[in-house]
Amino acid sequence: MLTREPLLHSATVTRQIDYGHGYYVLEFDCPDLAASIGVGQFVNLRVRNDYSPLLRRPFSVFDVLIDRANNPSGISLLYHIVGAGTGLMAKMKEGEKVSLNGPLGKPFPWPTDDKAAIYMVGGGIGTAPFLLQAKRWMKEAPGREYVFIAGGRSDHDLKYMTHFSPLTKQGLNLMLTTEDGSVGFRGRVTDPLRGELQARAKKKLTSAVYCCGPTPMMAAVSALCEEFDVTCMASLESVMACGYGVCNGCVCAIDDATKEKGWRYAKTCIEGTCFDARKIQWKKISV
Amino acid sequence: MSIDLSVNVGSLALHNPLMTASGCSGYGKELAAYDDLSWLSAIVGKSISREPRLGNPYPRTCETPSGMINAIGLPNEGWESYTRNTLPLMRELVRGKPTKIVLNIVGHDLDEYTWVAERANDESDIAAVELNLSCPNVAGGLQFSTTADGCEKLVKAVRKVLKLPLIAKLSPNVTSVADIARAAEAAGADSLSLINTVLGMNVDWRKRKALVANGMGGLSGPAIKPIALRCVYEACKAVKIPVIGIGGICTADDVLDFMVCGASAVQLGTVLFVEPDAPQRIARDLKERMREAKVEKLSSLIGTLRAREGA
Repeated sequence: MLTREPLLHSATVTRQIDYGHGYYVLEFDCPDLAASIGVGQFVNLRVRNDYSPLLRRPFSVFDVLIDRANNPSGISLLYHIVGAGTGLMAKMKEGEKVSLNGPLGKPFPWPTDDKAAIYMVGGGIGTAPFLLQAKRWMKEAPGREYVFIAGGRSDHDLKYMTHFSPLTKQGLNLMLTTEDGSVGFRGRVTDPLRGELQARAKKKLTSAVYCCGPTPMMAAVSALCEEFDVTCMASLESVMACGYGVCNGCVCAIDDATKEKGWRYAKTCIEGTCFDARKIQWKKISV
Repeated sequence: MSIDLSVNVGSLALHNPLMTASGCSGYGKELAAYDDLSWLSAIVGKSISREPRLGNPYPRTCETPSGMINAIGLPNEGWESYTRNTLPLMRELVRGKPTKIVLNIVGHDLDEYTWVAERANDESDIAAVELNLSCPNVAGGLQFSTTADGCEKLVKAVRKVLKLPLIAKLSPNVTSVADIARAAEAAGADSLSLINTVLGMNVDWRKRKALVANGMGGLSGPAIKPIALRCVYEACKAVKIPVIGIGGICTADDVLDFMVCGASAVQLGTVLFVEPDAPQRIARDLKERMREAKVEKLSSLIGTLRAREGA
């Protein structure tokens, strides 16, 4: 029965990078975990080795770090201070041991259409899963077109975008949007996305969209994709207690014709975090 | 010094005192990916009802100081699917292990409880049935636990049809735990388990919203341990049947605290969300603590709390 790799890892903090305004990237040494991470998977981090705060915090894996011999040596997490847990994370120092539960969730699925351009759309720290996705997928399927649209309220929210720079040199089309126009397009992620989808539809080229970020943003991206009949996968950041399928907390309402009511609750942590956006009942999952 | 962790809960002989609490380990499958289930003496599955239940709207959980609130609402596949799909899987999971399967059941009314209980008799490998008569998150769910009369009626009705050992799971959200405990005992329960979650609430004042969709929910985690200890202590004084302690247990010391207050065994709940391998750690630490205290038999500690001098 026990065919899975061990999931609880004692990771050592190797670096904390401060991007200002509460944004950080935290790097860990954890070779076993690093070797088993799939695109879009997450880890559940225990902030302290006691019970205050009680619950682990879920984070998308931002990057898989590689050592000199080109082997996976660790992972990094992108986070923003929003409460007590992330506040304590910001105080973590090199050498500290942290318990990580993972990899959790299912890897992002490739689109069935192998010619579709890959659009990655992230808002705030919802940009986190797309670094690994772009890195891995551009290597695996270099023939495709890759576009990453990252949005924030202002340039403060996007300082860590430097991590994507090497990928832009390899052909990733990176577009930034800010609500105040301080960097990139003034507006929201849906503004350039609309232009892109329109242009591709005109040329009869197909696209597939992956989005992650605040629920209203993902609902808007999903609606836009529906307008252009484009596949959209949404990676949800549901409130969860356990992250591994036992608490039944992180449910997402999903259309399911086989059910009496025409829908059911799916556990985001084990069935997701990525769902076909067209099947998500957005009104039922807003916090 | 050889350490003996075995305990008895009535006719249930357990190789150690650690069971899972209903709703905190699904039906064992996910936990088995983290740890050998042999570290547990029983898996108490999530509540099963006659009909499938969808559960409450999202969000269903929020964190609180040293605890959390849940309003999950007892989603489950219903009895038919449970016996067809889940119970066979549970049998596989515990095959060759000392780990027992405990079925936790819930119903909207007396009929639904007895309907499920009657059918449980015919299933192999169910060691005991735990009655969830205290879930705060379901309309009508509290009626059987908040009055001694209601509790007695339900336990009596289930006792009448059930041939397996019967555990009545009690709520702390009552005026007198002792009264309810006595009612359950009088109605024929073989043992009691307590406490279920403590009714609680958490809000975001900026959004003017409760943090779980249901408004209120059940508080669990280390925050409720003192309440649970008090309830277990009171129940143990009130009845002769064995009591299973539940509420915020995270460490071996927590387990021992419950046992000296009178608990014959314990259930691990919220801690499993944080540490899916907690059973192993706690079982190892229990042996260590007992070695330090020169206690050979864990069962010798049950109910040994002394009155404070001068009190």
